[in-house]
Amino acid sequence: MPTVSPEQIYAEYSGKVMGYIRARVRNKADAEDLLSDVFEKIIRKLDGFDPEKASLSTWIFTVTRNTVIDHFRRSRPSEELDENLSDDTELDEDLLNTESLTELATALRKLPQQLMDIVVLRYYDGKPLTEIARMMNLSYGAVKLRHQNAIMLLKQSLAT
Amino acid sequence: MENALRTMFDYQKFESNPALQSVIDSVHSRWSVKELSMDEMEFVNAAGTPDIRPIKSGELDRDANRKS
Repeated sequence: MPTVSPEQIYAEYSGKVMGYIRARVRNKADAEDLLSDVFEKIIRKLDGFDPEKASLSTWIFTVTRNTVIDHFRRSRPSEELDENLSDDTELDEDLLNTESLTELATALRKLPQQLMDIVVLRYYDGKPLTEIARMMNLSYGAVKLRHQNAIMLLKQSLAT
Repeated sequence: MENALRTMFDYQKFESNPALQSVIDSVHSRWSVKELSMDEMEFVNAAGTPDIRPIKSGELDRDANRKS
C-alpha cells in the first residue's frame, strides 16, 4: 500500500509529467487533457503500485509515456510514432534513474564535440542523420560513420 | 545501445537531470535548436505555415499609398 497521497504525488510530479507532455504534444489544450488523464490513471492504479517492482518516479514516467503513446495512436492513427516513443522495444527500467542520466552526461562530455552533437541531435531531438548531415554541412556517409563511432565510444565509456 | 540512448533521452524529458540538460543545452546553443515554449508552439499551430520575409525599404509606404 503506498504511503503517499494522490495530492502529494500531484504536488511532486505534475511539473515533470507536464514537462514530458509538453516536449511531445504541441497543442496546449491536448497537453492539459493528457495531464488530467495521467493523474486519473495514477489515482485509479495507485493501490496496485508495487514499490518493489519499480520506483514511484519510474512508474509515473511509464504511465505518462503510455498515455502520450495512446494519444498519438488515437489522434494520428496513420502516422508512424516517433522513434523514441516506439513501444516495439521494452523499456529497460534499469536505465530509468537519475544516476544513469548523470553517467550518460559524463560519457557524452568525454566524446569529441562533433560526436556529442550528433548523439544529442539524433536521440534527444530525434533528427534523422540526413538532417544532421545537412545542418553540419557534411555528407550523409560522414555523419553515419561518426554516429557509429560515437555509439562505439559511448558503449565503451558506459561499460566501465 | 541505440535503444538505451532512446530510453535515456526520453526519460530526460521527464526527469530533467541537470548534468545531462547542461550537455543538451550546449549542443542546442551551437546548432540553434530551440525548444519552443507551449505558448510559442500554440502560436505556430495557430499561424500554420508562416510566410515571413523581410520588409523591403519603402514597401509599407507604397502599400499605404495604394490603399489611400
